Amino acid sequence: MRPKGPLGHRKGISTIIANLLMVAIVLTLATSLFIWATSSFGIYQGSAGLWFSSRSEAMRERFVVEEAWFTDNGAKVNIYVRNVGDIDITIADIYVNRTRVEAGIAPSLPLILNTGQVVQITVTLSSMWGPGRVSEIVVATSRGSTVRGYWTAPA
Amino acid sequence: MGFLRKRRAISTVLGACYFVVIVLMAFSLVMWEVSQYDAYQQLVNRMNQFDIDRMTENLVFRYPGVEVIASTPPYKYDIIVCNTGGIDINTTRIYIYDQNTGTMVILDKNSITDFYTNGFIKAGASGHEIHAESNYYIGEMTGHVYWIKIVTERGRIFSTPYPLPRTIEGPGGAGHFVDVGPIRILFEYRAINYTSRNQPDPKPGWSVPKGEFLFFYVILINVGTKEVCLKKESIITFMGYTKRGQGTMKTFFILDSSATYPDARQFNSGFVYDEVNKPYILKPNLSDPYSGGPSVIVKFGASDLPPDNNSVEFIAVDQYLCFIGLFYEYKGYNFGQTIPFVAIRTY
Repeated sequence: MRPKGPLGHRKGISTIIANLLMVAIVLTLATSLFIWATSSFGIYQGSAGLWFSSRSEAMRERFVVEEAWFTDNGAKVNIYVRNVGDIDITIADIYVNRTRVEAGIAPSLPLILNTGQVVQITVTLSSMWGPGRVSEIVVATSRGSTVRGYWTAPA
Repeated sequence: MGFLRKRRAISTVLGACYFVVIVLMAFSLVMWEVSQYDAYQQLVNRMNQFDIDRMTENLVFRYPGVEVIASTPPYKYDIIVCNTGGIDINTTRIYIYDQNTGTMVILDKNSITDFYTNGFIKAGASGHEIHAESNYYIGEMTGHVYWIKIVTERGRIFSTPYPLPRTIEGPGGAGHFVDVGPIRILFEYRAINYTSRNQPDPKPGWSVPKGEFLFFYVILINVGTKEVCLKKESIITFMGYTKRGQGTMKTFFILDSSATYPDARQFNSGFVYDEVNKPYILKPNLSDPYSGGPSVIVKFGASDLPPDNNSVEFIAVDQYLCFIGLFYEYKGYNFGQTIPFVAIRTY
């Protein structure tokens, strides 16, 4: 008479263990895959969402430099910027003749400009503007949009 | 322990469940991205439409550009434009820059002092009048050159020099101007105007009173490619003639652009022409020189070279042949011209 197994039956123990092992392996692998997929999808969704969000916000930005008025006998230029887009913008930087203006800007930057609002920004130039000279003025926002214009100082 | 006795593929079922869950997650991610992309694309289309609308805007200034309604403070004037762009335009601000004085005037809709009304311009509107009110005078007869910029709600900027180039034809419909060198002299009804104590607003000067001090206004245009700077020796001179040929000659020297009218023998010393610091500068139209730059009204009325500030008057009733003597600097060289102009009478 053959002795009974641990389960009281004369069944193949190895088969059961193999099944259990297989289930465990599948569970482990599947759980790992699930965790990886979840995190990957989450990261992808987050980055894609950020891309769509930032691109959408940048896409909605529209602003113009209405006027650049050279004044104070060559020392200053008044720049009038209007936000004509769908979203508030933040003016981050101003470049005059490809040089970033770091000081002497009133009001100081960064400057939030609401939709439809116009602001006068007075830039004190590091070098005096010459009569009749053409200056390149670039206004940049924090989202990376820029508006470039060329303005002639009065003769 | 029934499941152990049944020979079912537990691992397969579990794996399939996981697989289905992961596929569903991926599908939902794809669907989310599609919806995001769709929303983004809608935004792109909307902003593209905004840009198309913006580029469709077109505003044309119609002659004479500005019509002065009130010439005493607060000054009122209409800015005349045509909307040729096929889309309604809502203006948001008007900049007026006085090139002679370097003064900037900003007209806003909601401002108290410098403002304008009727700034919404329907598509196809012709001769639309934007009613402006300001404490700064803008008039053709000031002799100043202004730059008017109109900003629209969509961010377009339309500008023009003022006074606008003349298009009124003279008598006969042809030959309404004379080009000599880089200077064009108009010949039309308002080609020569005068002011006096009794006539402070410029009036066509074909017939002027005797015994009154006079200032003459003449319209000049640069048709060259460089600036023309008028010198202090510039004059307008009148040769009187009678049956006996014994008429008198009267010469009016150039005045400052701010001159208005003479109210005494010695006019305000502020009208003395300063060719160094405040000369008349005729700007060229570099994009199309022959059509001419902005017209400039040059004023004459001094009895001698600066700093003389005596006024001049006609003594007798007579007929006068008028010549313009212009001295100017062009391309770094000095030039002088005598130009037969008009004939006038005194009464």
